[in-house]
Amino acid sequence: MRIIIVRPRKTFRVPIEAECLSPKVLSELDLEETKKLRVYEGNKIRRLEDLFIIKEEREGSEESLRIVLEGDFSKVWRIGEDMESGEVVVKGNCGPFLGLRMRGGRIVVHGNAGSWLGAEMSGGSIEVHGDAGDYVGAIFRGERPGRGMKGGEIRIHGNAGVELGGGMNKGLIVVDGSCGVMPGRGMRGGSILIRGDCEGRAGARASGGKVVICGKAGGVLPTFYISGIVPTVKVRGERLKGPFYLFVGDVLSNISCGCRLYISVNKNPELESYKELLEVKDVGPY
Amino acid sequence: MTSIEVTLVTGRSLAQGIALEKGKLSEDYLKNVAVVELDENDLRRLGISEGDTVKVKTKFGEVVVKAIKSREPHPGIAFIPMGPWASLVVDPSTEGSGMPTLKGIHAEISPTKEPVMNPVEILRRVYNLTKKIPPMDPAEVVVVKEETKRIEKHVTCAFCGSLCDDLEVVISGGRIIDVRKACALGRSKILHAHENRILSAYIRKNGELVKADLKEAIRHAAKILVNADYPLLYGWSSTSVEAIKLGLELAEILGGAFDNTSVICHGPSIQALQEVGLVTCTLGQVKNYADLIIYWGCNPLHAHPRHLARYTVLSRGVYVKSRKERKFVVVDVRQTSTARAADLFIKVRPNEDYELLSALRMIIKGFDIEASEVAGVPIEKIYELADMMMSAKFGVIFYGLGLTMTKGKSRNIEEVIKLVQELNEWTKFVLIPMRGHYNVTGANQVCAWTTGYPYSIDFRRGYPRHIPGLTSAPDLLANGDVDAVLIVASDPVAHFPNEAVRHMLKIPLITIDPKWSLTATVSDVVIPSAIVGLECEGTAYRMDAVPIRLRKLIEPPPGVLSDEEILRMLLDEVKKLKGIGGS
Amino acid sequence: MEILIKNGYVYDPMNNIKGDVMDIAIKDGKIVEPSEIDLQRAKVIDAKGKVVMPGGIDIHAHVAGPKVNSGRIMMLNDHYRSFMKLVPGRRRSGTGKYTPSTYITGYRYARMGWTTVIEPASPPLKTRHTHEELNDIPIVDKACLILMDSNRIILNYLDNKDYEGCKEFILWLLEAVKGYGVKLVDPGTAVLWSWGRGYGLDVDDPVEPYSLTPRDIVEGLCRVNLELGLPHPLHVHCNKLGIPGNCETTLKTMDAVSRLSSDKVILHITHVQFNAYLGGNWYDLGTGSEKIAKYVNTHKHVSLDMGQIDFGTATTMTADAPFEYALFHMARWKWLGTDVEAEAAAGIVPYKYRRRNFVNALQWCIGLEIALLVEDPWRVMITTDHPNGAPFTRYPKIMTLLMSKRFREEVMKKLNRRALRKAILPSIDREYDLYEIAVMTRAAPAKLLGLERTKGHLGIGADADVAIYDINPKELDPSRDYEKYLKAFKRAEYTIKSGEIVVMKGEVVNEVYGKTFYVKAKTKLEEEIYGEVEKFFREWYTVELQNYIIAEHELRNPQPIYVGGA
Repeated sequence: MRIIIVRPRKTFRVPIEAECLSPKVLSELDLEETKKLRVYEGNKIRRLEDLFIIKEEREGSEESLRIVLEGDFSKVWRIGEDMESGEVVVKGNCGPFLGLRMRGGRIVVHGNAGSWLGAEMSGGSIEVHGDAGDYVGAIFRGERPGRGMKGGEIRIHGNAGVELGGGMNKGLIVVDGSCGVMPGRGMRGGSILIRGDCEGRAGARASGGKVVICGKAGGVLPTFYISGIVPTVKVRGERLKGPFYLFVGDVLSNISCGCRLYISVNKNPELESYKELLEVKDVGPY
Repeated sequence: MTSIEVTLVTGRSLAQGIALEKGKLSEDYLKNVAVVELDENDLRRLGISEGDTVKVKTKFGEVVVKAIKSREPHPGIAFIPMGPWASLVVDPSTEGSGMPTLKGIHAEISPTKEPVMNPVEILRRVYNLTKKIPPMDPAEVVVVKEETKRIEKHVTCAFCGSLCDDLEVVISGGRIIDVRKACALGRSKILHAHENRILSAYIRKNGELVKADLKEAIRHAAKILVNADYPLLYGWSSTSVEAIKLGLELAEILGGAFDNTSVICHGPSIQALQEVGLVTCTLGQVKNYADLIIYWGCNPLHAHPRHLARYTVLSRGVYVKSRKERKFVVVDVRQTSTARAADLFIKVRPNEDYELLSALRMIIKGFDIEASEVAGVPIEKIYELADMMMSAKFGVIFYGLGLTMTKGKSRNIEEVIKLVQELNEWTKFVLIPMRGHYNVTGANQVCAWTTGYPYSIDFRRGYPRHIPGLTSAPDLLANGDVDAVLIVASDPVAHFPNEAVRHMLKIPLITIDPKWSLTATVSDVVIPSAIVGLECEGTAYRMDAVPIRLRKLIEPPPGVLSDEEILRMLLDEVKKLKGIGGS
Repeated sequence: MEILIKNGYVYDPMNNIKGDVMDIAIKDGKIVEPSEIDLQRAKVIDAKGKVVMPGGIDIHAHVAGPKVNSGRIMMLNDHYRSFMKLVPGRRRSGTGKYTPSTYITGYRYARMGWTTVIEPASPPLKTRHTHEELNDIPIVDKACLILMDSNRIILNYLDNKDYEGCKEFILWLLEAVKGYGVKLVDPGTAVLWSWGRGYGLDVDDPVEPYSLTPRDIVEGLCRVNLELGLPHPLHVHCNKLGIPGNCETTLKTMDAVSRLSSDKVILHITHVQFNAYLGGNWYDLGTGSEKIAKYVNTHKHVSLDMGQIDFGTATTMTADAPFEYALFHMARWKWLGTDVEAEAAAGIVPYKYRRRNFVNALQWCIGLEIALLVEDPWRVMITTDHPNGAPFTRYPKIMTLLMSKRFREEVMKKLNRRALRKAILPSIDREYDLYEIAVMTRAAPAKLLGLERTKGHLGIGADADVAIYDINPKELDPSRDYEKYLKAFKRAEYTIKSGEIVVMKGEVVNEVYGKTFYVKAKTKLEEEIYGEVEKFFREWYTVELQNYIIAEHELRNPQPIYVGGA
């Protein structure tokens, strides 16, 4: 395995744009070519080696590539953009647009990740041991619906920001901590699991997919209808113990209420009143 | 000690708008802005009376202000006018939208013996500012000469987004001595135009601002900007379109970030427009046709005082002639003075506008709502509002920062746009944002036609990009991403959240402004400019994107140039330093 | 600057030059006799084996103004993907393909060899905005047409049959807002749209509360336009645009003014493709191209522009608000609608034209059919109704399609079968030649705009707007080598604007700014009209009359065209 180790030469003041720090670019270049790659420090064009110390190591005989980023990369944008294979390991924090439009391979962050993590990705996996910013795996503003996340998985062990998995079509996002407002906004498919709390409006404008909230949900939108109470729910092979309220919606986006929203019964006493509704309703769980 | 928990709302008030023109360091400003409006009951619960000081504490900071009794009852809600005091306690997180959360923040209020700090003390004690603040130039004394008195008619008022263009200004001896037809805000701006002015260029040397030659100041500013790796050019909403154009060219050549103040007012409105569109009209259509007028999350009587009389409820239109023929609804978190005049007032729980809008959309589309109340509003009342909307002949919703600054930000606006789009299946319905600064709409328009994006534009790579939440001024500053700032006609030091101000005080700061703002006083280069619409001409866009020409009425103070002229000089200087031939 | 273009194949229809090898000399921004040039100083361009034409003129493209800008803001997904970088000292940056920002609009026109463009729909109240954008479009000359179909003051004059008053007012209005001509969009609908009605308004339906029909509006304003002697004939976007069966409406509209003139063009029907549909619904949509072409071939008072669509994304934007609302229900994504008080209403909806879609494929055929069936190239011009049918950057493709049947067949292979069965395009053999293309894109629009003295030709005294394409018409047959033609048309070898070289080898090398044409009355207007107009203003508008008037110095390079006078 080829291992490329990258370490910042200094503490950055302005954002660094380094979309070349991706296996997609580096796998085709040798070390010398890599050092000469163009990066932007603010508005100044620099060579990669001007800003980073770059070393190469080999391990085993495989042809795959691993990029190891050591140090603080929180000002570095667009790491692992468009990657199709290989591995990126960030030992520290990293900036926005990590794994943008990635199609395969693996990214591990031993720290926090910025916003737009894995935005519009379609394959591969991302694991963040710290927190992630806003718009994890989300679709960009103003884009045609359907361009959202199309596959792959994102696992965040800390907390995530707002609009987790906005517009996603397929794939999986798991947040072990809590998340901001509107997870799964406008989603059309795929699954989102939030083990902690959510600030509310889960599944707003969603037309498909599944959102599971194990902690406090922060209320349910009026556009979601109660469908039942289920004892457990399964997300990608993992069985989660409930009980959960099952809501379906968003009726304003999809009249047949394709999005399923599971919310922990025990953690959300304020939703008690929905239980009464269930008694008069003869609709079984979907 | 007793303390109460409230929801904090910040925003414009009439008194704040008037005092603003006298200067941020004036007594009036301190008296009217370093306050918190509390409900009578809440005052009693705290065991204090009006005029006592209280400490307002949120997750993000604390500030001491004077408690005053609100004119209208709004238990559980505290209101602080926008300014340096409110900025200390607001939520700086923009949730990737560029817009900090300035309304609907959970806060704790307790009585205190501590005194209220003035803006300079805030800078010194809270932000640990070491830079020296210069003494203000004294205001010129107005000499009225009866014999040279002249009246300028059809003058456009450059204060708020209403751009009333029917003012009459009385001028004598090169000075404005009276204004007719203007509201209190416009009147204050025009009559106090000569007060608190910057009359010379300044450069900071050894920590002290010293008077400098204009050319020297421009050279100095150009050097700062060219040497920066990522400068930010911010402001632009209180100047002419012509100046904004030059600003964009400057940002482009510098490879910097360019942002206008819409980012902290109606930025979310634009984001929503980008997602779903908009159904709107010019204000004349409202005047002539609208029989249902809804103000949602805004208080025009304070922020746009002539709006009701000139364009909406009280105006005389071609088909709808009077107040009697129009229904008037206000939706807000507190009963504002506008709300008191309304036929129907709907009090929504803070931060739950989205839910209420969703409920309205459901009713209009014929779906049942399971809950018995939404956002603190009983279902029956929501049905009543929905019925009013559907049975109107021509309905209009004006919305303000109550929707853009609260939880959900642009998503709230998307919901209201969707609502209006769907209402068009029943009747004619439109939506108009209540834009604040007089040319904030113009700033968006210019940016859009020059770069394709309306605000928060980044030129680092030689072409425009737009990533609100990353390239927006509040985020760039709070993240410490920029290394120099040029401010044109704005006062971010007074109005930006805590974190952002801290970074701004650490980096070179250049200000172009007619008046001594807080930002100007802490800047490294200060360049005075003429006031657009009084001392120089230019175009501005009304809140409904109608372009209106602002005229020159009087001469600017000696040696003071317009923003346009200053920016052209700055641009030439930057080109020279970068070795680019003049175009 | 002095320039001598040597030995090019010159196509200059107005001077009846059909590919002759000639030298073109340029001095002080004008075409001069080659003998006037000082060869010591002059820049000599060797155009041997190349085509030399006057600069292209676009008669109808929404490139500037309030609704275009709203479109830009709304379509940010377009701007993410297409951009031009800053080249310091040479050109500015910008973004967007379907709704490009102003600077790159100018550059892209120049790169194709186009030097004049007309923004066809500006609501008077917001025309100051249009001019500010036009000021920021580099290189090309420009002008804007003013929307007048639903202007309440004009309708009031027409309703009272006060044509004299109407004439005075229109001239005043054009001068006040610095407009170039009268544009009607779906006459009358904006009045009804103020109450949410107006979809499908036909020529003989009433426009309440006036006792007028769209026919009356077209007829009345055509008469006024003619009597005023405005440089450009009445520019009409017909009623019922984009609705199956609207071919009848178009024919009626054209016929409504037939008695006013028998020889001169007095009515320009714009983007006629969208208005040439037969059938009762989208399923049985049929092509009305034969009917339209037949009418135009037998009547000399109308001219057309194509409004050709091309496949891919487009942004529809028009001052036909109810239609856009209907389209929103089909496209279901974004909709932006704006009403302008007492004047107009517009809408914007993004749309995607697909090859396999029956309707879209047939639309594509109809546009080309009309261009090919109309015999006189002087009365049918190339447009895409940018950005409605396709961006203006597709003109080279359309030119080539008209020149090559083989190219058309190539495209038709991928089209919806049912559409091809209904279309007549497969059976049309006509192929335009370079001379006719030069007519359609240069001479004809110049003449129609009343700018034929200085624009659209290369005779002595003309403005030195020249395009040079790297193509040898003697060696390459457009019918077979269409790809080479397409390539050459996309990027001009040279574009010269007012005597300055602005494009070389397809890249912008120099930024100049063109003029803005507008109509000005020869004599000052009577004071009386002010009183009357002011009264209306008080009633209808929220701005003061005095602030409505645009001063000449607000335009970058104003160029008045003087007209009759009251």
